Amino acid sequence: MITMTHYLVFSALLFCISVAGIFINRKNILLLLMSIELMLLSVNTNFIIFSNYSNDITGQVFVFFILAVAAAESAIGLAIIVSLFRARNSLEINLINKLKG
Amino acid sequence: MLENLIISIPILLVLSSAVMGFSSSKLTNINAGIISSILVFISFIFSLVIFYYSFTNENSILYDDFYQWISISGLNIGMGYLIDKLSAMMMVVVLLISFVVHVYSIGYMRDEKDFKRFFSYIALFTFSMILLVMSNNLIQLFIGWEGVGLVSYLLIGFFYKKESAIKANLKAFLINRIGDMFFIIGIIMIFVLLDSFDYKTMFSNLKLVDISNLEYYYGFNYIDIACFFLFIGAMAKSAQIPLHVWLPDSMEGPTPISALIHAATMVTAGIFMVARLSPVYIYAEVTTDFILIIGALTALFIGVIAIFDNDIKKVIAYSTISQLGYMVSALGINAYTVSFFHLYTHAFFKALLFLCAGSVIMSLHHNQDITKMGGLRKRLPITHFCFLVGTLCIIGFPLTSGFFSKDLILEVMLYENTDLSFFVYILLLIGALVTTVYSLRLIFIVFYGTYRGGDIKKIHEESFVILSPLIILATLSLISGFVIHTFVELPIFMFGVKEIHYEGLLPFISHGVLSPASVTLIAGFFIAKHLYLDNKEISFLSNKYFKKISMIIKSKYKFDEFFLNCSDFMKATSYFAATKFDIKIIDSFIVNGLPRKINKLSTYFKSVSSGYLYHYAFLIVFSLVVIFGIILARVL
Repeated sequence: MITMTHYLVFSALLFCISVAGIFINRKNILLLLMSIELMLLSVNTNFIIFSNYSNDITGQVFVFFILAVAAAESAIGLAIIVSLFRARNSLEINLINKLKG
Repeated sequence: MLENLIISIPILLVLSSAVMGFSSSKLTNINAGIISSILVFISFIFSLVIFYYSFTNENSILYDDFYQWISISGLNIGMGYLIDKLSAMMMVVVLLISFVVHVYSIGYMRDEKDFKRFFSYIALFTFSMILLVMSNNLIQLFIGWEGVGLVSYLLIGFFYKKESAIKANLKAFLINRIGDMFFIIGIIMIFVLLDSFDYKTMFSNLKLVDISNLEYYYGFNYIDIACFFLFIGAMAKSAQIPLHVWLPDSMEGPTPISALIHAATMVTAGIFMVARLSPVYIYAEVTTDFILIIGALTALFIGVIAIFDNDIKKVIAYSTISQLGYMVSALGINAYTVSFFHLYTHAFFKALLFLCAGSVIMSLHHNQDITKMGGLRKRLPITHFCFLVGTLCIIGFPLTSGFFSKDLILEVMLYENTDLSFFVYILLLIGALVTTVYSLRLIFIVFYGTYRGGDIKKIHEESFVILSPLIILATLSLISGFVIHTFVELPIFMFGVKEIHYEGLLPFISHGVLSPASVTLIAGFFIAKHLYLDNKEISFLSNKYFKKISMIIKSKYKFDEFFLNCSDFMKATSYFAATKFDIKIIDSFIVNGLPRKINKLSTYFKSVSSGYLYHYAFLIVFSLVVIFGIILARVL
């Protein structure tokens, strides 16, 4: 029997993987974008679980909004990445350290 | 009508100053001088009208507060005038001397390039002095006070290419700053006590003050301290020991200025101020004793210096300080009218002496050294006559103006009948002897004997423009003493002050002639005759003891050195503060040191922001975890 705990653990694992993806990954900025998407998905999963559990449709409706926004966001992200690539001819994160104080 | 006259006096004067100061070269020097003199003459006529009104209408005080300058709750500073007998008299004296000096200056300054600048300054001076005299509150008096100080500074340094003139005017300015600082403190203290700057309100509030129940500080009551501070301001302005050092040096200015500013009017501003505030000074018993001592010391000891100086103007300057000492000591026994009487006669004869000295200096082509003069009596008869009149006045020869005023001071001093006043009386009596000696010395050395400066044939009298002011002033010096009864009855402001023992003109004269002052006069004459007319000075001074005394006096009691040492000490202190405190502590420790420390500290924190995205992301997540962990730990 798959209980709610299993779902929550799964969602937490997914979130941890994506967080790890953000700061262990040092190669490609595209992977960074994908990790962020994954993070959003794990949060969505939580929404769906709680919505189902409390018999409230609002959570599931919200997921659609988040998906739409995430899609728009990744489109912008991709555009930024493309212009970044044009400017610097590489997508290596190690080279992007201009945020230094 | 009268109000308009009063207000138009300062307006005319400031107009004259502005016209002279801003006019183009189309206005020739002579015309400028004539216009300026006419404007001053008109103001003089106006002041005579006011004077006539004040002295014919009993208890008449013209008062108006026509402009409110600053008005904050409880603090009202206005512009206005208060004309009583005191200020009406003072205005007439100031404007008369000013007019005479204007006329004289047309002749005296005719070859100067900066002729119009000179006239602009003296008109500005007269304006400031009138502002001071006719003011109805302490702030306006202070504005006038500073104004005359400023013009005095400008005029001492009139020959600004001469180094000594620049040094002298700086000295005058700095010494006056010392006085002014205390003067402001005094004004504020008076305001705190009486809650107003306006004389009328001040003096009516004074009646409400419980005099016997004042606060005491270090054993002096509040009014004593306030009056003391005010008097220090007067000491600087009226050149009293030890703040007198600027006045002899101020002789660097043109001679008409010495007559107008540094003899007749500005230096008497201090005496005027004390007389104006006499209702307050009556309650300052300790301070008046201090005033008495300062005045007497100045009268005697500065007079002595005049015997040994060889600069014709400086001798007269020292005698001015000495005569101011007489006035101040009369203030010290609350005999304000007597002091003011001496101020009034002194203004005429001292201006006369200075203008005569100027005439001599001009005839000798700007030579001021009396050792190079002598026997000028034949070549400069009119100047000699006027100088003789001035000298007779200052030594108090019977029936001249100085006789009345100086004898009156000595009389009231004797009638005061306390130990201190008797001591002061003795000092003033010796001072009278000294006055006789130095005045006669000057006239003997300059006008008698033989000429010591080359060809006497080349010397001749100056033009009529120079001589007519001398004659006017000589006449005034001779007759001005006969109005003595006016002064004896003259009430200073609204309060009746000291009763003066006076029985009428003839008893006064006979009493004065038979007083000890006549003995000093005769003794002084014979001493001066013996030393300077018969030329026994050198043999007299070769005496061992007199040589030592004269050395002390010639050093002017080292007052200049005292002030120099003071300023050296302050310089050393400020140098110490600048190098040790300012550079070491403030600059290198606080101003530069603190940022250096912060900079060092920030290098550690700086390494946190590496610029790598994953470091930032890690930090965000890590801190979130920590925060949630803390919250969870609390909840559980």
